Amino acid sequence: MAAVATGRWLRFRCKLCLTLTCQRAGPCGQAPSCRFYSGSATIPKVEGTNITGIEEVVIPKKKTWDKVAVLQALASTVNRDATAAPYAFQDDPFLIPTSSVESRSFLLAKKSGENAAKFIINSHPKYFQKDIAEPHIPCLMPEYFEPQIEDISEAALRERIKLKKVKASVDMFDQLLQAGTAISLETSNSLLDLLCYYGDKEPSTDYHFQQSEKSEELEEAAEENNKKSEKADHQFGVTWRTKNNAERIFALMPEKNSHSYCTMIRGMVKHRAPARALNLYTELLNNRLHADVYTFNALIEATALSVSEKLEDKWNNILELLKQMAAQKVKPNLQTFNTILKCLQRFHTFGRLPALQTFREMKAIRIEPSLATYHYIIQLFYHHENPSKGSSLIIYDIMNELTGQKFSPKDPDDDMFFQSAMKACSFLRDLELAYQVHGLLNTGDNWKFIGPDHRRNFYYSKFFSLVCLMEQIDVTLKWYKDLIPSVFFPRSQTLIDLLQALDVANRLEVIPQIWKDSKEYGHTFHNVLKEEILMLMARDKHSPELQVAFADCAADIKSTYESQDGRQTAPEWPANSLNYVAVLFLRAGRTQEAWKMLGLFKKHNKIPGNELLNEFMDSAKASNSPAQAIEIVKLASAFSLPICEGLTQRVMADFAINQEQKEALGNLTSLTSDSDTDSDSDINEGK
Amino acid sequence: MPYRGPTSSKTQVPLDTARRYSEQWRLWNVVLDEALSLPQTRPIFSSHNWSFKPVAQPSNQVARFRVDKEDKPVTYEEVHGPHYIAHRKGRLSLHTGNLYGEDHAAEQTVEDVFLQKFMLGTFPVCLADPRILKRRAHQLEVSALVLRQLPAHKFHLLVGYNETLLSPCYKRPVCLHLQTVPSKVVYKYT
Repeated sequence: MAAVATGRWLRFRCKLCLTLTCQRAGPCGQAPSCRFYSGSATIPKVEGTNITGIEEVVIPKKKTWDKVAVLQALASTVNRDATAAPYAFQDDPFLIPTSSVESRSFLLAKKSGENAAKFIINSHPKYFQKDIAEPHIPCLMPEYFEPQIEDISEAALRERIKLKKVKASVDMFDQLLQAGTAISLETSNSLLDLLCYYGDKEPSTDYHFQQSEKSEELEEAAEENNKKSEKADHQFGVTWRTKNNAERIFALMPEKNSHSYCTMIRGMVKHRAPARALNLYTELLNNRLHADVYTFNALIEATALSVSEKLEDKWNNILELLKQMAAQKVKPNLQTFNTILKCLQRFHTFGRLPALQTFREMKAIRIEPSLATYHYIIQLFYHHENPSKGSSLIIYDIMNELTGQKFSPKDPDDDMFFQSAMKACSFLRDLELAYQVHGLLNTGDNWKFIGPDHRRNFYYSKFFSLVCLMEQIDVTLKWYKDLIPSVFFPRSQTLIDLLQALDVANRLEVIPQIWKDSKEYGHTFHNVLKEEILMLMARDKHSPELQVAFADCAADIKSTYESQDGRQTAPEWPANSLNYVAVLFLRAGRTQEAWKMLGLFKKHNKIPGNELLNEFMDSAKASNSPAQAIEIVKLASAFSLPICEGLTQRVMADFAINQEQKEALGNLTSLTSDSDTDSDSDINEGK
Repeated sequence: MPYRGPTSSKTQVPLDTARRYSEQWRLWNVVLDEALSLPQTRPIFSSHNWSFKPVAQPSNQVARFRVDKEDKPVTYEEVHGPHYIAHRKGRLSLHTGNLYGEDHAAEQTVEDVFLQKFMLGTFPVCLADPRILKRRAHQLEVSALVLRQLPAHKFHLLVGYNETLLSPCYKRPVCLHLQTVPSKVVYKYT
């Protein structure tokens, strides 16, 4: 029974083999598509058979996927939704921000709510201890900020250092010294690290996002390291007091190694005491110790910070330092070169040649430049440009080199690259280059380098203004829909640029839509923008439907002016706007409202324009009412306009008026003609 | 005064989805209610009549409104009683704890009660409807309908606060989704 079964099994196997090999031998060309073997790595060579066309089956190595690989694949199938607000906000019309100020305040509010919750959790950790998550989620557990070890010992000191309690650790150190215990070198060094990093003040509980935004000029002028603003200090951070705790402890230490010196030097430079840092460096050399690369970076910055010397001397000092670095056999890193370039950036025109030399040196040592490197170079060449001199073409070389590259963050200043690149593009008015920069932004993960809110707004404002200036109107409108408001909120200047682009391309019918959008983005009370819109609408005559749309828009703008007047004591309704609104009403056939506008002229003490009065005369003629015509003449004479005579003659000629009205007109004209000669010059000056 | 059965708060316990809510079952529930609630005026089992008829007078008081003078506004949620759940209403808390083979139904119910009260406390004047709690894998999503009583940045502060406080409490990510309405959405006046 078993034998039969095995016999059957063997026959089955042979048949299987035969069929397979037949199939194999047949279509040799398409072997890769018909693999039937599941388990074996290679086909065991059957003795006696000489079957050609069998290849080795190579099972590929097992792929290991990232934990979020599926999510990443799904994410790559969708693009950004141009109609949605950023996901950090609640998806509700009341809760979506409508301007950049609002979006910043909402994000700050959310963050402060989170801080309040964290404060509560960390104050009462015993209520949050129950751990039901499997696997353990560390970020949802409360954190301990109070030191646990109470006695005076080195372990207690180390704990306080770990918890970053500056004052407590200094006190503990003093207590240990008084008690006479010896403190090891590593602990003293780590205490020095703590003190030098925080500049002898407690780490502030203000997070850096709450600092006020500095303007660009301030950013270039100021140091960009310590951003915590304290009451005693100025805007720019903590300054290093002489004889503070760090120096005292440094003096008290029985033995110092190079790490101690290095920390002190770096702390001094960070907190703006460059001269002391250089002195300490000479002390280090006197003790025949070596500095590490971070210290050299700090020293380079210190030489650039010293105020009294000339640029060439500073550059020579930096070169000296570099030679010493080479002599001590310390290899420079990316930070070294970036620091040099940052210092050269402050030297402006003088620094251009050394900057290029530095860059070439960096390439020669085969250190990959980061985005910050290119940022400094662009700043050097394009910052203080005036268009009369020829501009350098270095940015084209830079962009050619960078296209398609993906970056990872290596330097804190990496996020300034795109801003400076786009500024240079807009200075050069080159749209292709701008598209290249934007393409680099969208490559891979480079979007992370766009920086904080104000930098992103600046980048996109410049980009969109350039697009408005140079690109065809359809493409411009597509960018408009894509970018606004999901990526940035437009400033009024951006909207004015867009309006001018529409004007050039003769697409004025989009203007009411733009006005509606401007109201949403918080520009309702921006007078310049409103005047521009009204001017563009009122300049020429258009088709009737368009006139109706324009008149609706004008009525809307008028209502915003009125509500603005209601809030302020001094009404500031400019004369031009009054003119334009009245003209638009007239052209759309809304004569009642147009006549009301005339009344407003007197109220706001503004003078109507000549064309406006002519148009009113035309409309009066169209409606065939001499009373209206006389009204106009009266108004003109009230303002003592020189056009009054022309109007009077027109009235006499075109309208059928009776004798009294003629006399009244005659009176008016005589009045004006008398005062005309006197006040003619005044009126001309006033106009 | 007849003893009215236990009146519940606004929270509704999720019912077992496997059971059919047939008419007979409803009536039997009524009978149980009556039997347990010690009626003083209307005994079920009267001494004269042994024919046991379930008393089909619905005297359930739970979460219902009676039509009164028509001046009190009520929302859609409040108008429909609990027997309309899964017919005209959805549930207030959606989780799989009551399915066959799943556990932790009780813990999730307790969490629901706590969360409803917690949200009521954090958004003091603002809540228009009971909150809807959804549990999706590991995550807890709270959807709330709020009135526009506070400025928008205060809402964002409260959202950040809630999310960050509740997540370590339950050791799971808690998401808050708000939708604002100008006032309570009235379905009819009763």
